[in-house]
Amino acid sequence: MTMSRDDGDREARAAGADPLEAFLAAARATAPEPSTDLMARVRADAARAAAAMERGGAMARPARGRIQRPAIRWRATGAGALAAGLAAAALGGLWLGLAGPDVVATLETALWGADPLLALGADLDLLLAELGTDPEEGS
Amino acid sequence: MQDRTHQPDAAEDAALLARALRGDSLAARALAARLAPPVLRFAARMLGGDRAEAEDVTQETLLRLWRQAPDWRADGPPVRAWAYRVAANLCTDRLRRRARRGDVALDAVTEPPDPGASTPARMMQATRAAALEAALADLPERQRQAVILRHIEGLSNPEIARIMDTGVEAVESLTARGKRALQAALAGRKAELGYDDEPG
Repeated sequence: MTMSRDDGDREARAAGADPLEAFLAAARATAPEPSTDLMARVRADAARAAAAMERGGAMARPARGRIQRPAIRWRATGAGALAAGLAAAALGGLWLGLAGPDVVATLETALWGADPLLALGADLDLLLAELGTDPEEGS
Repeated sequence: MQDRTHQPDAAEDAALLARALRGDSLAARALAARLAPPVLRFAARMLGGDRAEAEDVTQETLLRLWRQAPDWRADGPPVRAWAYRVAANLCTDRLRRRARRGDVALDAVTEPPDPGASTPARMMQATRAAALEAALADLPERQRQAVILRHIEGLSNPEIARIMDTGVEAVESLTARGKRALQAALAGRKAELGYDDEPG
Protein backbone atom coordinates (compact mmCIF):
# COMPACT_ATOMS: atom_id res chain seq x y z
CA MET A 1 0.00 0.00 0.00
CA THR A 2 1.51 3.34 -0.97
CA MET A 3 0.76 6.53 0.82
CA SER A 4 0.74 9.96 -0.69
CA ARG A 5 2.74 12.79 0.84
CA ASP A 6 -0.50 14.21 2.22
CA ASP A 7 -1.21 10.90 3.89
CA GLY A 8 2.28 10.91 5.39
CA ASP A 9 1.89 14.46 6.68
CA ARG A 10 -1.50 13.67 8.13
CA GLU A 11 -0.13 10.65 9.90
CA ALA A 12 2.85 12.58 11.23
CA ARG A 13 0.46 15.15 12.71
CA ALA A 14 -1.69 12.38 14.11
CA ALA A 15 1.40 10.80 15.63
CA GLY A 16 1.94 13.96 17.62
CA ALA A 17 -1.53 13.75 19.09
CA ASP A 18 -1.64 9.99 19.47
CA PRO A 19 1.65 8.34 20.43
CA LEU A 20 0.42 4.97 19.18
CA GLU A 21 -0.23 6.39 15.75
CA ALA A 22 3.51 6.51 15.00
CA PHE A 23 3.76 2.77 15.64
CA LEU A 24 0.69 2.09 13.54
CA ALA A 25 2.07 4.23 10.72
CA ALA A 26 5.33 2.26 10.86
CA ALA A 27 3.36 -1.00 10.68
CA ARG A 28 1.39 0.24 7.67
CA ALA A 29 4.58 1.30 5.93
CA THR A 30 6.26 -2.06 6.43
CA ALA A 31 3.34 -4.29 5.44
CA PRO A 32 4.24 -7.75 4.23
CA GLU A 33 3.66 -8.28 0.52
CA PRO A 34 2.69 -11.60 -1.07
CA SER A 35 5.52 -13.58 -2.61
CA THR A 36 5.68 -14.16 -6.35
CA ASP A 37 5.03 -17.83 -5.69
CA LEU A 38 1.87 -17.14 -3.70
CA MET A 39 0.56 -14.79 -6.36
CA ALA A 40 1.23 -17.42 -9.05
CA ARG A 41 -0.66 -20.01 -7.01
CA VAL A 42 -3.71 -17.85 -6.31
CA ARG A 43 -3.87 -16.78 -9.95
CA ALA A 44 -3.64 -20.41 -11.08
CA ASP A 45 -6.40 -21.36 -8.64
CA ALA A 46 -8.50 -18.48 -9.95
CA ALA A 47 -8.06 -19.54 -13.57
CA ARG A 48 -9.03 -23.11 -12.71
CA ALA A 49 -12.04 -21.89 -10.75
CA ALA A 50 -13.21 -19.75 -13.67
CA ALA A 51 -12.87 -22.70 -16.04
CA ALA A 52 -14.84 -24.90 -13.63
CA MET A 53 -17.54 -22.27 -13.20
CA GLU A 54 -17.85 -21.91 -16.96
CA ARG A 55 -18.53 -25.65 -17.13
CA GLY A 56 -20.97 -25.26 -14.27
CA GLY A 57 -18.92 -27.48 -12.01
CA ALA A 58 -16.93 -27.13 -8.84
CA MET A 59 -13.24 -26.47 -8.64
CA ALA A 60 -11.21 -29.65 -8.37
CA ARG A 61 -7.76 -29.02 -6.99
CA PRO A 62 -5.70 -26.08 -5.70
CA ALA A 63 -2.49 -24.99 -7.38
CA ARG A 64 0.55 -26.86 -6.19
CA GLY A 65 2.17 -25.20 -3.23
CA ARG A 66 2.30 -25.24 0.52
CA ILE A 67 -1.36 -26.13 0.94
CA GLN A 68 -0.87 -29.16 -1.27
CA ARG A 69 2.32 -30.25 0.42
CA PRO A 70 2.63 -34.05 0.24
CA ALA A 71 0.69 -35.73 2.98
CA ILE A 72 1.75 -39.06 4.44
CA ARG A 73 -0.53 -41.54 2.78
CA TRP A 74 -0.29 -44.78 4.67
CA ARG A 75 -1.96 -46.94 2.10
CA ALA A 76 -0.12 -45.51 -0.89
CA THR A 77 3.33 -45.87 0.63
CA GLY A 78 2.80 -49.40 1.99
CA ALA A 79 3.40 -48.06 5.45
CA GLY A 80 -0.12 -49.14 6.37
CA ALA A 81 0.78 -52.81 5.97
CA LEU A 82 3.98 -52.28 7.95
CA ALA A 83 2.07 -50.57 10.74
CA ALA A 84 -0.51 -53.38 10.82
CA GLY A 85 2.27 -55.99 11.02
CA LEU A 86 3.99 -54.18 13.85
CA ALA A 87 0.72 -53.83 15.72
CA ALA A 88 0.00 -57.57 15.33
CA ALA A 89 3.49 -58.48 16.54
CA ALA A 90 3.13 -56.16 19.52
CA LEU A 91 -0.24 -57.66 20.44
CA GLY A 92 1.21 -61.18 20.07
CA GLY A 93 4.10 -60.32 22.37
CA LEU A 94 1.74 -58.81 24.89
CA TRP A 95 -0.44 -61.93 24.82
CA LEU A 96 2.57 -64.23 25.31
CA GLY A 97 3.72 -62.14 28.23
CA LEU A 98 0.33 -62.17 29.90
CA ALA A 99 -0.51 -65.81 29.13
CA GLY A 100 2.24 -67.34 31.28
CA PRO A 101 4.58 -70.29 30.74
CA ASP A 102 1.90 -73.02 30.41
CA VAL A 103 0.37 -71.52 27.32
CA VAL A 104 3.81 -70.82 25.87
CA ALA A 105 4.80 -74.47 26.42
CA THR A 106 1.61 -75.63 24.69
CA LEU A 107 2.28 -73.34 21.76
CA GLU A 108 5.89 -74.52 21.61
CA THR A 109 4.82 -78.16 21.48
CA ALA A 110 2.33 -77.42 18.76
CA LEU A 111 4.99 -75.74 16.68
CA TRP A 112 8.06 -77.88 17.33
CA GLY A 113 6.84 -81.18 18.75
CA ALA A 114 7.31 -82.60 22.27
CA ASP A 115 10.90 -81.46 22.66
CA PRO A 116 11.97 -78.68 20.41
CA LEU A 117 15.66 -79.39 20.92
CA LEU A 118 15.20 -83.05 20.03
CA ALA A 119 13.13 -82.11 17.00
CA LEU A 120 15.79 -79.69 15.88
CA GLY A 121 18.48 -82.34 16.49
CA ALA A 122 16.53 -84.93 14.46
CA ASP A 123 16.24 -82.51 11.58
CA LEU A 124 19.98 -81.83 11.79
CA ASP A 125 20.78 -85.59 11.79
CA LEU A 126 18.68 -86.08 8.70
CA LEU A 127 20.39 -83.22 6.95
CA LEU A 128 23.88 -84.45 7.83
CA ALA A 129 22.99 -88.01 6.78
CA GLU A 130 21.90 -86.72 3.41
CA LEU A 131 25.22 -84.93 3.10
CA GLY A 132 27.07 -88.18 4.01
CA THR A 133 28.40 -86.85 7.28
CA ASP A 134 28.21 -88.78 10.58
CA PRO A 135 27.24 -86.33 13.28
CA GLU A 136 28.86 -88.45 16.00
CA GLU A 137 32.22 -88.57 14.23
CA GLY A 138 32.12 -85.04 12.94
CA SER A 139 33.45 -85.95 9.47
CA MET B 1 -7.95 7.70 11.20
CA GLN B 2 -8.64 7.59 7.52
CA ASP B 3 -10.56 4.67 6.09
CA ARG B 4 -8.67 3.01 3.30
CA THR B 5 -11.54 0.99 1.91
CA HIS B 6 -13.88 2.57 -0.55
CA GLN B 7 -17.16 1.65 -2.11
CA PRO B 8 -15.65 1.61 -5.62
CA ASP B 9 -13.32 -1.16 -4.43
CA ALA B 10 -16.30 -3.22 -3.32
CA ALA B 11 -18.13 -2.52 -6.56
CA GLU B 12 -15.11 -3.52 -8.63
CA ASP B 13 -14.60 -6.70 -6.58
CA ALA B 14 -18.23 -7.60 -7.15
CA ALA B 15 -18.00 -6.91 -10.86
CA LEU B 16 -14.90 -9.08 -11.17
CA LEU B 17 -16.56 -11.90 -9.26
CA ALA B 18 -19.64 -11.69 -11.48
CA ARG B 19 -17.43 -12.00 -14.57
CA ALA B 20 -15.47 -14.86 -12.99
CA LEU B 21 -18.75 -16.70 -12.37
CA ARG B 22 -19.35 -16.58 -16.11
CA GLY B 23 -15.98 -18.23 -16.69
CA ASP B 24 -13.87 -15.12 -17.28
CA SER B 25 -10.41 -16.28 -16.29
CA LEU B 26 -8.86 -12.82 -16.52
CA ALA B 27 -11.44 -11.41 -14.12
CA ALA B 28 -10.93 -14.29 -11.69
CA ARG B 29 -7.17 -13.78 -11.74
CA ALA B 30 -7.56 -10.04 -11.29
CA LEU B 31 -9.85 -10.54 -8.29
CA ALA B 32 -7.38 -12.98 -6.73
CA ALA B 33 -4.58 -10.47 -7.25
CA ARG B 34 -6.64 -7.72 -5.57
CA LEU B 35 -7.64 -9.79 -2.56
CA ALA B 36 -4.43 -11.69 -1.82
CA PRO B 37 -2.34 -8.73 -0.53
CA PRO B 38 -4.83 -7.45 2.10
CA VAL B 39 -5.67 -10.98 3.21
CA LEU B 40 -1.97 -11.83 3.55
CA ARG B 41 -1.26 -8.66 5.53
CA PHE B 42 -4.14 -9.35 7.86
CA ALA B 43 -3.25 -13.04 8.32
CA ALA B 44 0.44 -12.31 8.91
CA ARG B 45 -0.43 -9.87 11.68
CA MET B 46 -3.01 -12.14 13.22
CA LEU B 47 -0.50 -15.00 13.21
CA GLY B 48 2.29 -12.99 14.81
CA GLY B 49 4.32 -12.57 11.63
CA ASP B 50 4.41 -16.22 10.55
CA ARG B 51 4.60 -15.60 6.86
CA ALA B 52 4.40 -19.22 5.70
CA GLU B 53 1.22 -19.80 7.66
CA ALA B 54 -0.16 -16.48 6.47
CA GLU B 55 0.42 -17.52 2.86
CA ASP B 56 -1.39 -20.80 3.50
CA VAL B 57 -4.31 -18.90 5.00
CA THR B 58 -4.38 -16.55 2.00
CA GLN B 59 -4.49 -19.35 -0.53
CA GLU B 60 -7.07 -21.27 1.48
CA THR B 61 -9.25 -18.16 1.82
CA LEU B 62 -9.31 -17.66 -1.92
CA LEU B 63 -9.98 -21.36 -2.53
CA ARG B 64 -13.01 -21.09 -0.28
CA LEU B 65 -14.10 -18.00 -2.17
CA TRP B 66 -14.06 -19.95 -5.43
CA ARG B 67 -15.83 -22.92 -3.93
CA GLN B 68 -18.62 -20.73 -2.60
CA ALA B 69 -18.68 -18.32 -5.53
CA PRO B 70 -21.57 -20.05 -7.33
CA ASP B 71 -23.75 -19.31 -4.28
CA TRP B 72 -22.62 -15.69 -4.04
CA ARG B 73 -25.39 -13.09 -4.10
CA ALA B 74 -24.97 -9.53 -5.22
CA ASP B 75 -26.93 -8.29 -2.21
CA GLY B 76 -24.78 -10.28 0.22
CA PRO B 77 -21.67 -9.10 2.08
CA PRO B 78 -18.96 -7.41 0.03
CA VAL B 79 -16.42 -9.89 -1.35
CA ARG B 80 -13.55 -8.32 0.56
CA ALA B 81 -15.37 -8.38 3.89
CA TRP B 82 -16.26 -12.00 3.25
CA ALA B 83 -12.58 -12.79 2.53
CA TYR B 84 -11.43 -11.08 5.74
CA ARG B 85 -13.99 -13.05 7.69
CA VAL B 86 -12.88 -16.38 6.26
CA ALA B 87 -9.24 -15.46 6.86
CA ALA B 88 -10.04 -14.51 10.45
CA ASN B 89 -11.68 -17.87 11.04
CA LEU B 90 -8.74 -19.72 9.50
CA CYS B 91 -6.32 -17.74 11.67
CA THR B 92 -8.38 -18.54 14.76
CA ASP B 93 -8.21 -22.25 13.92
CA ARG B 94 -4.45 -22.09 13.56
CA LEU B 95 -3.97 -20.11 16.76
CA ARG B 96 -6.04 -22.67 18.65
CA ARG B 97 -4.05 -25.52 17.19
CA ARG B 98 -0.87 -23.76 18.25
CA ALA B 99 -2.22 -23.29 21.75
CA ARG B 100 -3.23 -26.96 21.99
CA ARG B 101 0.22 -28.06 20.83
CA GLY B 102 1.81 -25.65 23.26
CA ASP B 103 3.94 -24.19 20.48
CA VAL B 104 6.28 -21.39 21.35
CA ALA B 105 4.25 -18.49 20.13
CA LEU B 106 5.90 -16.82 17.23
CA ASP B 107 3.70 -13.98 18.38
CA ALA B 108 6.01 -13.29 21.24
CA VAL B 109 9.06 -12.93 19.06
CA THR B 110 9.92 -9.49 17.89
CA GLU B 111 11.53 -9.86 14.51
CA PRO B 112 14.75 -7.98 14.02
CA PRO B 113 14.59 -5.08 11.62
CA ASP B 114 15.14 -5.84 7.97
CA PRO B 115 18.90 -5.59 7.30
CA GLY B 116 18.02 -4.40 3.81
CA ALA B 117 16.68 -1.22 5.28
CA SER B 118 19.17 1.23 3.94
CA THR B 119 18.74 4.27 6.12
CA PRO B 120 18.57 4.74 9.88
CA ALA B 121 15.05 6.14 9.45
CA ARG B 122 13.91 2.99 7.70
CA MET B 123 15.58 0.80 10.27
CA MET B 124 13.84 2.71 13.03
CA GLN B 125 10.54 2.35 11.22
CA ALA B 126 11.07 -1.41 10.91
CA THR B 127 11.96 -1.62 14.59
CA ARG B 128 8.83 0.28 15.56
CA ALA B 129 6.71 -1.94 13.34
CA ALA B 130 8.23 -5.04 14.93
CA ALA B 131 7.59 -3.65 18.40
CA LEU B 132 3.96 -3.01 17.50
CA GLU B 133 3.62 -6.49 16.05
CA ALA B 134 4.95 -8.05 19.25
CA ALA B 135 2.54 -5.96 21.32
CA LEU B 136 -0.35 -6.90 19.02
CA ALA B 137 0.45 -10.55 19.53
CA ASP B 138 -0.20 -10.17 23.24
CA LEU B 139 -3.68 -8.74 22.76
CA PRO B 140 -6.74 -10.96 23.11
CA GLU B 141 -7.61 -12.28 19.68
CA ARG B 142 -10.78 -10.22 19.09
CA GLN B 143 -9.06 -7.00 20.15
CA ARG B 144 -6.13 -7.81 17.89
CA GLN B 145 -8.44 -8.46 14.97
CA ALA B 146 -10.36 -5.24 15.50
CA VAL B 147 -7.22 -3.11 15.90
CA ILE B 148 -5.58 -4.57 12.79
CA LEU B 149 -8.67 -4.06 10.64
CA ARG B 150 -9.40 -0.57 11.96
CA HIS B 151 -6.02 1.01 12.54
CA ILE B 152 -3.72 -0.81 10.12
CA GLU B 153 -5.97 -1.96 7.28
CA GLY B 154 -8.13 1.12 7.66
CA LEU B 155 -11.57 -0.46 7.43
CA SER B 156 -14.61 1.35 8.78
CA ASN B 157 -16.29 0.24 11.99
CA PRO B 158 -19.43 -1.00 10.18
CA GLU B 159 -17.25 -3.07 7.83
CA ILE B 160 -15.38 -4.55 10.79
CA ALA B 161 -18.65 -5.26 12.58
CA ARG B 162 -19.80 -7.24 9.57
CA ILE B 163 -16.53 -9.16 9.36
CA MET B 164 -16.51 -9.94 13.06
CA ASP B 165 -20.22 -10.67 13.15
CA THR B 166 -20.85 -8.17 15.89
CA GLY B 167 -22.18 -4.67 16.40
CA VAL B 168 -20.48 -1.37 15.67
CA GLU B 169 -20.42 -0.46 19.37
CA ALA B 170 -18.69 -3.73 20.19
CA VAL B 171 -16.07 -2.95 17.54
CA GLU B 172 -15.51 0.50 19.02
CA SER B 173 -15.07 -1.04 22.44
CA LEU B 174 -12.66 -3.70 21.15
CA THR B 175 -10.51 -1.17 19.30
CA ALA B 176 -10.48 1.24 22.25
CA ARG B 177 -9.41 -1.47 24.69
CA GLY B 178 -6.91 -2.81 22.19
CA LYS B 179 -5.33 0.61 21.70
CA ARG B 180 -5.08 1.22 25.43
CA ALA B 181 -3.34 -2.12 25.88
CA LEU B 182 -0.95 -1.36 23.03
CA GLN B 183 -0.13 2.06 24.45
CA ALA B 184 0.60 0.51 27.82
CA ALA B 185 2.78 -2.17 26.25
CA LEU B 186 4.74 0.28 24.13
CA ALA B 187 5.02 3.12 26.65
CA GLY B 188 8.20 1.73 28.08
CA ARG B 189 9.85 1.45 24.71
CA LYS B 190 9.44 4.99 23.42
CA ALA B 191 12.92 6.10 24.35
CA GLU B 192 14.42 2.94 22.92
CA LEU B 193 12.48 3.49 19.71
CA GLY B 194 13.59 7.07 19.28
CA TYR B 195 10.45 9.00 20.18
CA ASP B 196 12.11 11.07 22.85
CA ASP B 197 14.09 12.84 20.13
CA GLU B 198 11.01 13.83 18.18
CA PRO B 199 8.93 16.89 18.80
CA GLY B 200 5.71 15.87 20.50
